Amino acid sequence: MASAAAVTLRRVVLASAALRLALVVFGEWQDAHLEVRYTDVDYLVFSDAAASVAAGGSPFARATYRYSPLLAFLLLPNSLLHAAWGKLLFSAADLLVGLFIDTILELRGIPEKMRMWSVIAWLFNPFTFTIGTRGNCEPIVCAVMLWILICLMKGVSSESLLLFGMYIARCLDIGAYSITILSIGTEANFYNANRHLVYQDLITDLWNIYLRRILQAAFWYGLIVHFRIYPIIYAVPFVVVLGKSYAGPTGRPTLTMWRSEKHLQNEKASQREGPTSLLATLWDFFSNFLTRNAIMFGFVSGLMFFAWTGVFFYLYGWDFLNEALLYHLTRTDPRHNFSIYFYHIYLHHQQGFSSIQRLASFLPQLIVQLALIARFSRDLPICMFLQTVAFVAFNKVMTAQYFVWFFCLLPLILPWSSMKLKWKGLVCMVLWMGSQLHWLMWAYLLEFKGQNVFLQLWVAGLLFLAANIFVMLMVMKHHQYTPLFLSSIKSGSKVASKKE
Amino acid sequence: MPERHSGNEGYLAWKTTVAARNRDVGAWWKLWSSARPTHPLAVAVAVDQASHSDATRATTRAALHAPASPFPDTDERAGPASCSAHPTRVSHLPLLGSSQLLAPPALSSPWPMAVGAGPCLVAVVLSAAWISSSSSSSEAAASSAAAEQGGTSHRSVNCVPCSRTYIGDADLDTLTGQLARRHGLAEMSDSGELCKGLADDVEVPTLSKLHRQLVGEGSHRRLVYSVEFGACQGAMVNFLDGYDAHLVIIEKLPNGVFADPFELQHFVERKVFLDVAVFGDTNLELPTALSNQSSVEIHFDLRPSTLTNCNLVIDLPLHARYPPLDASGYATVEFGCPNLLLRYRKKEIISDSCLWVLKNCEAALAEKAAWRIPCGDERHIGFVSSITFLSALICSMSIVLAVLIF
Repeated sequence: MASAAAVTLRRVVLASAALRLALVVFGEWQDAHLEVRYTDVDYLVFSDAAASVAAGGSPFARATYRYSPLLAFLLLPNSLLHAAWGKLLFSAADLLVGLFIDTILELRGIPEKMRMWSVIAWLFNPFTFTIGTRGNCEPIVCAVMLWILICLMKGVSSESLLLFGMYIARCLDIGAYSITILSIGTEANFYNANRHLVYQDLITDLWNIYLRRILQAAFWYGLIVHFRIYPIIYAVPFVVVLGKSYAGPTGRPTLTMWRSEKHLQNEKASQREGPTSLLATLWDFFSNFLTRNAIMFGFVSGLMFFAWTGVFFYLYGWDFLNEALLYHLTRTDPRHNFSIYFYHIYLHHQQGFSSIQRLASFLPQLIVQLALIARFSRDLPICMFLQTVAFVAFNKVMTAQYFVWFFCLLPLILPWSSMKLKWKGLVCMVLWMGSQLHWLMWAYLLEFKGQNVFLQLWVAGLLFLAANIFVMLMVMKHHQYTPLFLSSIKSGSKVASKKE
Repeated sequence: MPERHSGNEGYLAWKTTVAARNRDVGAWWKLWSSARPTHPLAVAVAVDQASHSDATRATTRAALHAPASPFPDTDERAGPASCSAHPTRVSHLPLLGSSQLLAPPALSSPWPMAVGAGPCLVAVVLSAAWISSSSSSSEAAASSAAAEQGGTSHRSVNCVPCSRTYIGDADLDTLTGQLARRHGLAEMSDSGELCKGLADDVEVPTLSKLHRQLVGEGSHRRLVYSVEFGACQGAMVNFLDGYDAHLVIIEKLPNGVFADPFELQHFVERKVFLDVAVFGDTNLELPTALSNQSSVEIHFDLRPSTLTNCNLVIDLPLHARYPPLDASGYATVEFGCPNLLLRYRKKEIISDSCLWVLKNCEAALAEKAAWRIPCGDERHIGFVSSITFLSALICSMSIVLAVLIF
């Protein structure tokens, strides 16, 4: 029943909101009364940076603040209102992610019960609710990524570029008009009297353009790449998806709908797109970059990224570039973390790294990303998920908060997976969590008991990488490849169009 | 910003930037947390320490020795002898004597060499000479005078203006590169007679026992000071009635260990300490080889309520950095001698001549604190690196294979 489902979703969201509020309150209590803090150290860094901004300074005055100044601005009410504002904001972003998951699955025709379980899997995942309430900013990144996905899915009118052009023309027109009347001076009164109408028109136009989802998606994408650099890995899949087969004749994309299990099994064999010649494939791939939508998306998101970077560089100078951008690109942290490279970095920290070593650590990452993009880019959710898992696994530094990046995409791919919870799903979960716990045990011995277990910790890191790869392979094997958007070019499509 | 050179060159360039950033960060922390006045002579000596070049050090030392040597610790004391009861003269610059508490790490951190330091040093030498040749009411003169007399009476007393919050912050001004004096000479100075006068007519409590122990396991431990005042019950209470007294502990931290200033601020907020400051390298992330020394200054408020049987227990949480590689698998970090001072002033303050009287608490520290930190082994480099890259390659190939097959 639709009404019962709506009530249930609302109840789920309310319950998780209550849970998060309770955790934030508990966290405040624990910070004040117990020795071990509930709040993450990063949250204190953000708050201090925000306090510094509130006092008129630079957020980079705070040591180890390595984020965009936007985060410090977002957290300004921490010093003005209450120190827990940031945590509430992040928890709200968390809830938003749950709602977005529901929206995305609904757009693709998932029945309510399954949607409910997916949302519950996110909202009541212990990892998820602790991350927001402890003060990590990752839920915001997840929320924005899912919103970009929704914008792309809900479609765009093909007149966007036209509208954009008209808007620019209107601005130029007004500019010319203003110059004219200023120099002539005769129609000044008329202009003044109607100025508010002119501005109103401008704002309406801007809003209409914003409502053109593709531009909105590009706006948010540029912003999120500025905020957290890792979403750049999704650039090529986005452009591919926006390619030739994105929008049909009406200008709106058609989403492929989900069909239940038995249909999946019947059609699994016929899912692969037929083999085509290499040249045709390459031409097909590159011609995607030349479509109007793709160019617009790339242009606007690039503009956004450089605009934000430029503004903050103007405000905070090289501090901003070094701390917020370049640090992440050249980061070599010898302290122990999940990555397999940590011991290698520690052993070499006194000698330095040669270019060959840098290349060697970058190459597997690059190869894997390219392979995944080449294979999966049309099926956007699985592509994003696998790319994120691979990116985190092969990165030089891996901390627990990065896992949220792919946790938020997991509910989007599970309905298309033929992997059942028993036993394959359970095996994947157990292996992944088990290798993590194994690593944590050695890390505890190293850090809190002072034993020299570097080698064992390193091996545990290798095992964790193996577990990650295993999970990736299992997901790939059992996934039903379904392009996100129906290609209007292919006739007699193997994928069924909208059903009930 | 270093350009991307290849290999070691680029790495050293990066380290220079990092060290520069450490200093900047340390400077920012200090500037942001509070503004404190500076002693110009302290600046001079700290610049000396920073330049790491014998020639310049000799020049500076010569200039400083000309009037009177207020900084006896400049002489290289060979390693940490046991912290005996021989009174170290009141040094406002605890970092000075801590030249090599550890075997120096494989690569010492690069400070900017004489290029920038040259003209600075000239200015410093000149200002040092001018200051020391000025009236006898200079702080250094007071301390040296007191020290000469103190040699016999085992009493080192010094006075600082109340506006000066911290005592051990001397070296920080090199980080900001500011040689300009923040305050006029008048504020820095106090007449020796007034200072001695303040000190003489008061029976100040002395330390009878001092224990220092490193407590805990692993990379996060606590340095626990257990302090006992002698002649407690009557004299102490009388003293505390008429005077505000703080116990000041200045601990020079060796290179392999750091104190988290934010954690210590938390202590201040919970009123465990009156005040805390960390000077020097406060970078929380870098390994030992890329770090510099730091020191911690703790102010503990002495009140009858906080002294239980005249015993005081103070906890200082510390964290270990990643040590340089060693074949044995463990690196040992040894702590030097802490500096304990008693800072007091009369309770009714006349604002324009407010002075803190500093008295060095001589106390024998029998135990040495040593910290064993696990470290990597150079012999592992070969197989760790090769297996790491190999496994990354294997995993990426398996994914590529899966992409082609599935």
